[in-house]
Amino acid sequence: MIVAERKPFEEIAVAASGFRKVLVAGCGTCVAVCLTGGEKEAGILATQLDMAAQLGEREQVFSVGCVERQCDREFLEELGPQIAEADAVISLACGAGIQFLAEAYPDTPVLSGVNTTFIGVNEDVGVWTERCRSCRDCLLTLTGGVCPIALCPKGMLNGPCGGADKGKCETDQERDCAWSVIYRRLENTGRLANLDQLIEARDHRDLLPGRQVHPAYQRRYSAHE
Amino acid sequence: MGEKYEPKILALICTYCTYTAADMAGSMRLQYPPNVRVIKLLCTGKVDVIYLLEAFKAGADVVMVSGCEIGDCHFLEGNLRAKERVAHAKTLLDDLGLGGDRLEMFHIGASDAPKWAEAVEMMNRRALELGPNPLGRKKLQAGQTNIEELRA
Amino acid sequence: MSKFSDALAGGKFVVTVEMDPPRGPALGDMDALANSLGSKVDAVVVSDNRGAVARMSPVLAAHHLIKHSQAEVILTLTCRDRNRLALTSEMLAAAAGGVQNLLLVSGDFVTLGDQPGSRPVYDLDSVQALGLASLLAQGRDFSGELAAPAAFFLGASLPVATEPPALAGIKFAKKLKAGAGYFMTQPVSGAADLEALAQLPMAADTKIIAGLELGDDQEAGPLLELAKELKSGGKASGVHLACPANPQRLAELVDKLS
Repeated sequence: MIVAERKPFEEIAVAASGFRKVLVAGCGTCVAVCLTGGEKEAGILATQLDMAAQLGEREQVFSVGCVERQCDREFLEELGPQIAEADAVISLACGAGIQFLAEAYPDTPVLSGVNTTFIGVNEDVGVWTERCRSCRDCLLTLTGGVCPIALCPKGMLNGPCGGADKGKCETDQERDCAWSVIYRRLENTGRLANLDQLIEARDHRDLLPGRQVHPAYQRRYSAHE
Repeated sequence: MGEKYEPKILALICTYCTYTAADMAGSMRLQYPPNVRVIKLLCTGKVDVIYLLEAFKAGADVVMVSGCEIGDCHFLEGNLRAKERVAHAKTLLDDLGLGGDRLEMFHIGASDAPKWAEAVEMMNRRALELGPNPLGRKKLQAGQTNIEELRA
Repeated sequence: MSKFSDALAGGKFVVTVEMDPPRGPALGDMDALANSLGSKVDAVVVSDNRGAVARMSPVLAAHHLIKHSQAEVILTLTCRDRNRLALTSEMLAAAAGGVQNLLLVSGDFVTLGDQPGSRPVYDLDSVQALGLASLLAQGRDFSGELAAPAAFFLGASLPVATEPPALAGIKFAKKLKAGAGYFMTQPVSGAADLEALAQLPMAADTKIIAGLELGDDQEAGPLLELAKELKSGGKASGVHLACPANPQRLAELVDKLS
């Protein structure tokens, strides 16, 4: 899932201070699961902003909306009536959802209420950790299901760097060296020979903005139709 | 301001423990500030951050949440969740400049009437030190919750 | 090949020292140390933004030392600050200035330095960088033909504290295959630190130079003892001495070692 964290309150309040009627728009998928931007968190932020406006004696009205996913046009349509009433929208979706909302309602200022942090997993109640950098060329078969691009700060592809220290990373003594984890995992599953393979330099065209069309829809979106 | 400041204390308390302690404090004729408004909950695990914020928005000067002693929750860990949510709500109050000190979590067992009386006493003192919640002194707008409604 | 590679090939116990390029625009800042040490050691290793702190380009510094001192130079290039294009161009520049020895390393992560928010590059890892240098020796880069080949005696680093120890062997083997002719270890504190490496099958015929680092407030004695132990016991092919906080102390170390 996509993980995000709420922006500092001050930053949101300052960005919203110039607007009278503000809609706080939550997203019911990833950011709801990571307790950052779902309906409940939208309510908390709206209440907090309302209190701040009263304390600052600003004439502002805050309302709350939430859709299943802000990264999907058909769900965004549901926000239409509320957005029509608002001078601005604070979106609590991930960066993708915020952009799609702004694209769907180009005449309304859209403000970002969260910082999108990573693609990760729910380790335990209230804890998420990064797992994937969406590099477009997955190595996990080779590396025992442990990603050296996401989990090694240097993205080392052919083994640990010189900073590896007793299984820990040079950047943080609490952080496991990704290559130690990879080694153990491959050892457990009898695949240590995977490590003999030289991994070539990556193709970094993953930095070009991505677009993908499902094979079943190639005809529909091909340039000729 | 002119008028005398009598703090509005809101207490969100668990029926299994603190509520019983408060009841017992009554039968023991223990003295504690009468300006505390009590809302009984089945478990402090029911307390949500939004309730806490709404309480202050409605004008509470201080809010106390009181659940069972650690390890004694009837729902296993409702009081632990409340403890974490209260800690989080304190940071949200700090964000606003209202101050997290206006909110506190307590753990008071059913038989601990004196501890309840002391807790209310302490929060009353704190409310006097911190002064009135400025939000409570603003004119209530239509649709806003009045603390008196919470009390009923 | 280079004087340094000849020394290693001839079985000499080599002594190298670390030198940081100046943290300023004056090349002459290196001269005093280079003159006092250059002729006494087998090579001066010019560091590359060591510790992820910016200094003068090590390529320019290496050129200066080659031109103005007796020192045999090993140029360090990290993968931290350059992508494959920049690594290629720096290697070509190095060759143009007479650099014959390279040490290709991944480089301390930027958060260990003084500008932790810098964007780290690591377009290539150290194995791939060695592969690139080997291609240059054949007159090619990753894409195609160069006007002429650029050949170097290639060095790589070796970790001494991987967990499990066998993990070090993975990259060790790949670096050998990618063209590394000698290895420098991360700083060791005792001969025992080298034992796990020595047990790796590929260690037998490989030139491994032990890294020794002297803290500014540290006595030189124990470090010298360790260097002598490594030499007499044949536990390393040489030692690489560094005293980042006070490089002037290197002269004293080198004198006592020879």
